[in-house]
Amino acid sequence: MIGPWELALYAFGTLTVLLLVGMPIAFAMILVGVGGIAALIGWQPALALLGQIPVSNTMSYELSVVPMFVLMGTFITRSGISGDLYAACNGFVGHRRGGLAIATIMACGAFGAVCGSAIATAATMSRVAYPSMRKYGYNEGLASASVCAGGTLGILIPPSVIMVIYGIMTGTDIAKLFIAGIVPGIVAVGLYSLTVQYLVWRNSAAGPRGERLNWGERLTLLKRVGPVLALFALIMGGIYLGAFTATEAAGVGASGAFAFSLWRRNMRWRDYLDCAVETARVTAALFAILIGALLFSQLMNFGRFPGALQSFVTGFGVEPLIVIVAICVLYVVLGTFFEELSMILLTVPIFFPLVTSLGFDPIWFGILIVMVVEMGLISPPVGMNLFVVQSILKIPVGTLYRWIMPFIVADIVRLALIILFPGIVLLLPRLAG
Amino acid sequence: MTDAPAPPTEKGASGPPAPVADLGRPGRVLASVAGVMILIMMVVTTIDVIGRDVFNVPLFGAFEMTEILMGLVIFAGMPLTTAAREHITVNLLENVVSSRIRCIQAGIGDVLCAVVGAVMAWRVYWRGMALNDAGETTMMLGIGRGYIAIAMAILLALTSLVFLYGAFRAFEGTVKRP
Repeated sequence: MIGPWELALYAFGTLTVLLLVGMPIAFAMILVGVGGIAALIGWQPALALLGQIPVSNTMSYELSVVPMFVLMGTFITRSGISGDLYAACNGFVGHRRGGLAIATIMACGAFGAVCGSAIATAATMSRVAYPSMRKYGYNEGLASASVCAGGTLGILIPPSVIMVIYGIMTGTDIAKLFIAGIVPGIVAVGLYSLTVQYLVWRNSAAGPRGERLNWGERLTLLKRVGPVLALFALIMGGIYLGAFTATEAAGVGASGAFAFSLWRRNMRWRDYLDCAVETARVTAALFAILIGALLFSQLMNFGRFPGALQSFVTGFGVEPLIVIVAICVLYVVLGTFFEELSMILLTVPIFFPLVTSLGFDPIWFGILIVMVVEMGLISPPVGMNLFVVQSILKIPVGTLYRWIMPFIVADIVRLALIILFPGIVLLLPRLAG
Repeated sequence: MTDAPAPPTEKGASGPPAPVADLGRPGRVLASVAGVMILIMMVVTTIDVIGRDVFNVPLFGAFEMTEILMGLVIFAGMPLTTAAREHITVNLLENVVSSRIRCIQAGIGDVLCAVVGAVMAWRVYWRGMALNDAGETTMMLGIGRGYIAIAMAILLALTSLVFLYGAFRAFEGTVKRP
């Protein structure tokens, strides 16, 4: 039987070749996982697992949290609330220098509070916030970079599809992960706003002042977005107080978003069905990857790779904090050319036992991973949010890359804060009990 | 006001995509069925939560209905995702290679996936038969788990066929036309 390190080398090597050929990640993982298990312990058990995992790991009540939160985000996106959210944030900060860009980031945060996808958040805000910023004479680099960076808040501020998947893979409480994301999300909005301030301080022509509104106008704007804020309060309040599990909150949240879009009366029956069909497609893509990742991690476990890695690290007597920093660096490097979700699914089964054996909190590690993914989304050359925003706005790639850099620095600062002060993440979930 | 369309799930939204497979009317029917299942799941969960928390009467069988719908939705979505080329791929060479090479790559990927999908369908089918032989049914509603697994196997077989069709379209795309 081959050793754990050789096995990992062969498995990841073959996987990389298959991905380069252009095979979808999910099926490449299934192929390598089953092929590897067959080589290690024989075809019979490998084929039995291939029959078992897709059946037993999909028919699960808890997993319905995935499609329900995706559905909620789709309803919210189609209902056209993003424009109102942006107008409301603008009403409060638009009159400052760089205020429209700060409003963009705040609106992204608010949108992320009812949508669990970074890409959807960035795509939506590109259409809503960017034209308005340009109208007020904002520099295209500042305008597009604030949309890109703000978009990543979609997966940090709960609900978040990545957190759900991390929770499923590791058995970590999804409700607690959600609660843990709130404070880091607020910190992120703050740091991004400071970044905008810094950019307009250096180049005051980049973000001129907008109009100042009086309090009456501000309240009118706030009223229009009230139902969305109420929806977020219902979901997170219910989870926080223990009235809902994450699964129940997702179902109720989807219904709430449905009711909200009915109230706004700008969708037809056909649109609702389209939203549901889109949700089914996204769900299928996510679960195909999940099935692949489960088979792949079975292979790693049969080959005893997580244990080998663990004894390697403990054998060296490496400082636990160094391990965390090393993992972060590895993720950032991998993330510059690898798709983030699959990166998480492939590596979490290997790193999770190591990290928890070093005494780190699973919830804290989950939030850390979400942040690293966020950074990957806006890191040139292949950050997904950069692609999405660039393809919608058609701005020069070089400009976007130059202006996104300060936001990446803000991400690094935030990551360092979370590593040095884990309380930022863990305080709220501990209070919730 | 209209908002964002479906977000691109394929890494790298730039460059010419490989041709997607249009499944026509059967595809639209399958899509509607999957969509309706999602909406039912939403309604069932909500009624169950409200019934339990407000009136102290949970919806009978809600838990199992969600389980079964989950299993079916995932595999009903699979041929649709495949046809729309929404499975996540990492295309590092995306901006380097010509669209001809891209089509060949997509075609090879599709053929490999078709094989994986077919083997999976075969194994899941046997799993379903085994579950039926063991007489496994859900606790409350008494639905045979084996039948659900067999439905999954059929949808997987369909996915495999869609991959083959996609490969055909992709290879066709590499043939130069006047």
